[in-house]
Amino acid sequence: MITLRNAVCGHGSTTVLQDVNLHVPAGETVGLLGPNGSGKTTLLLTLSGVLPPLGGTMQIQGRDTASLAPRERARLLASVPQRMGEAPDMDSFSLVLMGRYPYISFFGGYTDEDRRIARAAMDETGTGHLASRSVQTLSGGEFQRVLIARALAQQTPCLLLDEATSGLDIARKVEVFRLLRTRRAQGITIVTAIHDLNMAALYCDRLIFLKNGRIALDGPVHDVFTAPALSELYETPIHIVSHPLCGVPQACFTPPDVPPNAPSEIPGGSHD
Amino acid sequence: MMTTATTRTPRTGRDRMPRAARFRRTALCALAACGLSVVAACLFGPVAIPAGTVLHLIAAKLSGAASHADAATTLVIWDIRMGRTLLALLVGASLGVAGTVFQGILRNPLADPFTLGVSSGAAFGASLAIMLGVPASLPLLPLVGTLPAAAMLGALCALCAVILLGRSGGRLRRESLVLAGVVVATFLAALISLVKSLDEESVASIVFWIMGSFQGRGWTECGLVLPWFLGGMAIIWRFSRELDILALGDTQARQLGMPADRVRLWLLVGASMLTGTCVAVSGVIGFVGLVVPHLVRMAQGGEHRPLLVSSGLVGALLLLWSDVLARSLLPQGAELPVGVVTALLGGPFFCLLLRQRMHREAP
Repeated sequence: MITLRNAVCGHGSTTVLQDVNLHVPAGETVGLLGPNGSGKTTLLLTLSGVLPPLGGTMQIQGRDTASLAPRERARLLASVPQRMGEAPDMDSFSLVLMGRYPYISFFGGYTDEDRRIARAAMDETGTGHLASRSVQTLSGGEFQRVLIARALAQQTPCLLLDEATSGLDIARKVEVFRLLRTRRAQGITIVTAIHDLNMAALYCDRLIFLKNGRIALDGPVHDVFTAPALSELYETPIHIVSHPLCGVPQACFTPPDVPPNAPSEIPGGSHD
Repeated sequence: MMTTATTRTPRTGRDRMPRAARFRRTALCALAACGLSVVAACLFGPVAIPAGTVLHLIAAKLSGAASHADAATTLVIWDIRMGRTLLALLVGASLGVAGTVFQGILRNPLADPFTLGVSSGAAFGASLAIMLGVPASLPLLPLVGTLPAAAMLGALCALCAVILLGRSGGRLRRESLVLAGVVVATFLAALISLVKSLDEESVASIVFWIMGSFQGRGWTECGLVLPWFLGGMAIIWRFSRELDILALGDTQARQLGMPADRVRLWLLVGASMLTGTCVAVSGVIGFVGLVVPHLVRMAQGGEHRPLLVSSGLVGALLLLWSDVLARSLLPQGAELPVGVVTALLGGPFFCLLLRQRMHREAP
């Protein structure tokens, strides 16, 4: 559960987002969308405590973040970063085990229980076979799944993902979102920044669009995923069609040489 | 087909041997070499003493048995050479570990005690004390000696200056820390030159301090170093796991619940304690803190705990043998500054390794 009231996000003296009012109940999956530079990463970094909020209040699991120690926060909220600058020289298992860092005692190390949890997280993300491989030899997709395993090993009620699937091929993307689905069923709150509109519509309960330093649109997928709203947000013509199997709205982008009034076969798909 | 078989080999040669095994191999080799070297180093010196006598005396001293060696031989082997060798061991281990920590904190392969100005601070403290003609021991510091105390003070002042300069917006940023370190080190080097030109008489002893030497040092200095050595090592070991997390960058460190700035500060203090005491007893010895972490990382790679252990052992080994060379290369008991030996040994070796690695990594 994450609650933000009149929050102002940014770094140093630069304000990136303001008037952020947000309540994400437990077990909800929220997709964070918006054009490049709209503040998705800034919002996630503020939630994860890397950037202090410049104003307003923020609560995670009902606890005010201002009073949370870094370790306590890391036990409530795990983050999967967008990408890693340079891969560190260590094996994948050690990287996943770091997810247990917020739980170790002052002088103690990782326990057998920590190791068991890390191993389970790797199995869950299909990276168990990579455990002894050096992180530097992993492919982009493997690396991303190892980072997701680390976040799972943190065993937090809230999970933040920053474009965590953008580097993955379509099968891996679907795999990751399936995994997130099972987590949602366990009551985990998920906030994920995502570029892929259709993936967002398929796998999120609710979408939040950021634009011009504010929340431009916020609501359940069926309410906000409409042609007029998306076309305006992304400043490009977008058509909406219904997914043939599950009826979820999906976005279609129109090349400029298609006549604007071409007949549409699918109900609800036209946009004038 | 042959071609498909070859494409399936691991992408790097390092992967063929498990990491833990590589670490055990490096550490055990270095540990065994240290033990043998301590004994072997006692064989070298201006006074020729047969190896049998040396071995017998050391065995007798270690077992507590009475030895039949005369007092002069005992003095040379045990009081002079053994003390000096053990000091070189302690200082080498400190410099190796401190270098690994500095490189880890700053995530900069060129970082070492010099880059942060800590060594220069210590050298300046000592130079100033020499120029002002402070007596060798003060009633307040009967055990420590004035010069080591001045060096330690200089190291701490330099560290404080670097931290104050490198802070921006209440955070310690590694880029600004490196810059601040270079600025402080350069400024202090200029001050040392100034002290030298102001006081022509003490140039010899100041130069000695800047080049580093173990001449005339031994058990007393070992006793001085030991508490700082143990303290610094304890701090570093406590925060060694955090060094791995720092390597991921501050953002991820914070997201994993680690107060990155506080951890960095502790590690800086620990590594500076080690560096300061080293400079205090043996002057500024370059290259060990830079070369050793690189050597070890190339040999085993991986996480910091095993890296620290191996760096300490390899640093100790390197400095011990550098000191043996320093005291036995010149005829008639004349000595080279050990810093000159480490630079002469370390420089070309390092270049060779670096070229090899660049060659291997080139597509």
